Amino acid sequence: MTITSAKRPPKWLSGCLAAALLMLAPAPAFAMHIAEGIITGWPVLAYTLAGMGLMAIGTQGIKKFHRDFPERRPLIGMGAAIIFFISLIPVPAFTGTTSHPCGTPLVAILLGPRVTFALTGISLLLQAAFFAHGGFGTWGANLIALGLFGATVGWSAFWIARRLGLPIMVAGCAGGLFGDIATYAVSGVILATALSSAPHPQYDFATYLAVIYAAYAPTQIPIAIGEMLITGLALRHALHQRPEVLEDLNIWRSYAKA
Amino acid sequence: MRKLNNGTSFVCAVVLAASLYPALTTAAIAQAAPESSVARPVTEGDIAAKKSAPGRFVGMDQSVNVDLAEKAGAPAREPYINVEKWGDLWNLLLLLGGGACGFVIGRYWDHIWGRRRAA
Repeated sequence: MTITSAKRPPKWLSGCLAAALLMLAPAPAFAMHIAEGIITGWPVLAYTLAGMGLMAIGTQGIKKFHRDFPERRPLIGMGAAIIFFISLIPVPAFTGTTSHPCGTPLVAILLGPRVTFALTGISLLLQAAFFAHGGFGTWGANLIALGLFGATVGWSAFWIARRLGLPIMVAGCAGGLFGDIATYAVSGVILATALSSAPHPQYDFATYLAVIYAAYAPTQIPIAIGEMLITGLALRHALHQRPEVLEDLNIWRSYAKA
Repeated sequence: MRKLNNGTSFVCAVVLAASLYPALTTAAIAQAAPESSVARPVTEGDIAAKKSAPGRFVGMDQSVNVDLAEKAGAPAREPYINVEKWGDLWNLLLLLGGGACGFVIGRYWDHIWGRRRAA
């Protein structure tokens, strides 16, 4: 273990510096978030009920996390901040449009998918209320895409890669990539379903899905690759810096090759 | 200390270059084409054209979701709380949101990515 003798800056100063940096973000990105009014009628109720169910599961997950890891409670706040901020960053793509990464795969790998459901739900609610981003009527649909599928698929990909004995960097990359792609894939399905049952649909469901995926792909694939690399590097760095935390959180235990 | 100075100098140089770049390029363009720099009043049409111009880095939501929804007869509705209409308060909210997230992430960063502690 390396012991650093240099005096560390106070934590509040680190927080203030990071705050100043993140305040430079110019405007939120509008990408997978389905805007208010696109989904109407009974699907709004169904998605909202499903979202509320996910929030209930997530709340239980947070309670369990608090009980099991009382000294790691600040990570919950940090996870919420990561999801909230990452899903607002407008990342320009080569196609002249912007989109955003998800952040949910990384948080799900660190804190578990159930906790991530609740953190995503809260983030989406705040974004709808104060950032004109998404909407209250589409909150449930967005939570299913970003929270349920982004977190669960990302977490599953990480654990499958981990069971295969792949290094943590590769496993993290798999989590980030598949989580991001799953979010947009499900968002496309939800949108195609809504549009194919709209008053004047131009195509059927399958064609809408193909059109949406074709439109998403050029922008989102480079961003998914970026999220893949950032997730992998973040986990690799965490393992290098604080292996005991990953072991406590049951992310790295019995993992032979890092 | 020297490492810190080098790093700080590098960051300062990057920030300085980034902040000077738009001014320098604008001046260079104006010098190269002086006739195009004649000021004329901006009309609403200009603003509308600028907003819809390709390559303006519109969100994928606007370029895909909203456009398809409009054509399908299910246009996106204005948000219930439309903070974009609040002018500069909208910027304040963005700054506060980014700042709050940054503070939380920076404050607890070391819980996962901080320096390795003594055994």
